[in-house]
Amino acid sequence: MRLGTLWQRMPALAPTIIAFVLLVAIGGYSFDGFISGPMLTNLLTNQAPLGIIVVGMSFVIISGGIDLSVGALMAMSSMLFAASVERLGLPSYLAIPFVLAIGTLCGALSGKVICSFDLPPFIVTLAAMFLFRGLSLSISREPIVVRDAFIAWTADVSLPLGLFEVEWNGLLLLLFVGLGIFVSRYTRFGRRVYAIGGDEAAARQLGIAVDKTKKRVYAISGFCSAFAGVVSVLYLEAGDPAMSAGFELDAIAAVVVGGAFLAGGVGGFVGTFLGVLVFGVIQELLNFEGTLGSGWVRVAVGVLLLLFLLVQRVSEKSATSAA
Amino acid sequence: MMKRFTKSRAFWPVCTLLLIILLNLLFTEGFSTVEFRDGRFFSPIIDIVYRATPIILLSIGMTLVIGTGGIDLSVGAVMAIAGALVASALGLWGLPVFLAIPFVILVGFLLGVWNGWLVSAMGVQPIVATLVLMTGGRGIALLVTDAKTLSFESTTLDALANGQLLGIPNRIYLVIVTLALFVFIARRSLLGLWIECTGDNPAAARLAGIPIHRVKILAYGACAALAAVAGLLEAADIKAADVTRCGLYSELDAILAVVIGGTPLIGGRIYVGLSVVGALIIQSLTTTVLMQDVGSETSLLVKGLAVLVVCTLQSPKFRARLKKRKPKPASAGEA
Repeated sequence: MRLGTLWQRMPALAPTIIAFVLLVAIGGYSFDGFISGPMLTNLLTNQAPLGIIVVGMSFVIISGGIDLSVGALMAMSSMLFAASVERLGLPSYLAIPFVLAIGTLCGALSGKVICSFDLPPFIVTLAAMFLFRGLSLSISREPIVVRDAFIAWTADVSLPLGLFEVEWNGLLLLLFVGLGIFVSRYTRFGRRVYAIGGDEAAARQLGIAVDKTKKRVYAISGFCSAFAGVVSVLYLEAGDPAMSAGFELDAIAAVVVGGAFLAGGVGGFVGTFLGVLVFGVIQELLNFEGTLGSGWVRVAVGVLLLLFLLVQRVSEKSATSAA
Repeated sequence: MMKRFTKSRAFWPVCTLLLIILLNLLFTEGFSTVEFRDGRFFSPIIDIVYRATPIILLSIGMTLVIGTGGIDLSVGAVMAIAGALVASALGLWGLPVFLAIPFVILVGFLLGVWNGWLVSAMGVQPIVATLVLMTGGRGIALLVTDAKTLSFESTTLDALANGQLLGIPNRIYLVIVTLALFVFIARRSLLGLWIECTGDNPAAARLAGIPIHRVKILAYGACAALAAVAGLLEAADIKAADVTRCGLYSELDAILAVVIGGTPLIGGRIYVGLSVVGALIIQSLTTTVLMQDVGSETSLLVKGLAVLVVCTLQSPKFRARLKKRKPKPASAGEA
């Protein structure tokens, strides 16, 4: 399949963009000051961990796999970070690479198990989720508060961009999305990922190193989860073993809303970024409303997901009938 | 006959379960005690089956769905909805129990039909299709109970769900009856045959004239109906509907039970009885960890490791590697 330019892919992204615009419009109509710089800043900041994870998840899903362990790995990374600073006395600039390395390794391990034994990614990453969550709780059942100079400094980093200031976690999110876009479109690795997702058997016959690429994809997902964990520790100034429960499903939902096909081979990082934005707007809407409560969020997300699935099915059917 | 058992699919799961029970009998204090108090038998082994009942019900339903080549992530949410509905029906609307229970099970079945419709008629992938209900469903349940934990009083429901007959808890009877019913459906009924055909080769099944859409809808419907029963049991247990926690992660336990039992995830041949064995394995692992007083995080670690070990052992690639190192005559077909 041809990736095409962004302009050519616009029709596929149309539902996502429409959803985003609609939600922002609803917000602007219902609340004063909804359409504002601070709202966008908050959105990017709040969604940063999920967004970073979604970048990793996108690679996995485009390759035709799935990774259910991202939330648990994020929590475990946060605990590792907090524990190594507070209990081992490591300075942050050592602890962070350490945690990132472990996260990447964990992801690579999942990938290796999936490839070597031909096991379904769903089950392997599910088991990994249990393992990582158990390990997080083993480090500590209670959150660990972290006191460190670097962490305090990052809290103030931000970049003014015209109308609004993007805080440091928003910047990181944008950086990750940018990297995702670059790697997927301009590197051979990216092409291999799409090829494997499109038709793994055909890719193998073409001589593409399927297993190696798949392992790398899961390693990337692990890296992103670990990074998200580090980011949340820097933001909350604590590591929490119970954090991000259910994140994996939010991530999958965001990727689907962003136009990727769960079967693999179709999807793009601009789309998944838009998916994260749509998610974020729903969150912000509820923050502004305050009284609606989590019931409505879940219903809203469920309905949105449903609409997207139906739109995807319709567009798939019309594409095959046109072919 | 021993040789046939050794080569059958039931070998590893049943042995694992027996091993866990054996280790417990040997090393856990009080595991083999059986008391008779308040008109019923108490024993850790009975306790395991008692606590495992919701997962057993879920895994039976999940086996059917997986047999059609799908998966159902929404069972936990259906449990929560069932709990919310029964609490509302008995507590707020004042319905009698003999109306409330069928009502809740019917709603569960309809929710499953919804899933089945999405998967079959709309062609949505099962993971995402059931994800919709999983996310939205819990939200609906929260709205029904107004995000409060709704308590209710019902001696009838309590007696049914938590009571006993002839010293054996009612739940055990429920498990036995449900298991017998669905093993019959899977092995002896047309529906069972159709489920396996649909999962094994949907195109061939359709060409053979099997109504694959209806088969899938029924499978998902049954799965959700069983989930509703599980939700009823949970609600009856705490005499309230705790929507945020009811059935949380249950879908994962159910899927794990089916996998450990040996039913392949890609669909086709199903093994209902073995899924129940898988559910018992998971529950006995959890109970063992609890009795050892090691903390809940250990049970998560154990579950994760158990699944990895079992799946690796079942993987043909792994077995091929093993055989390369230990040359021995190839064993009679492991499909």
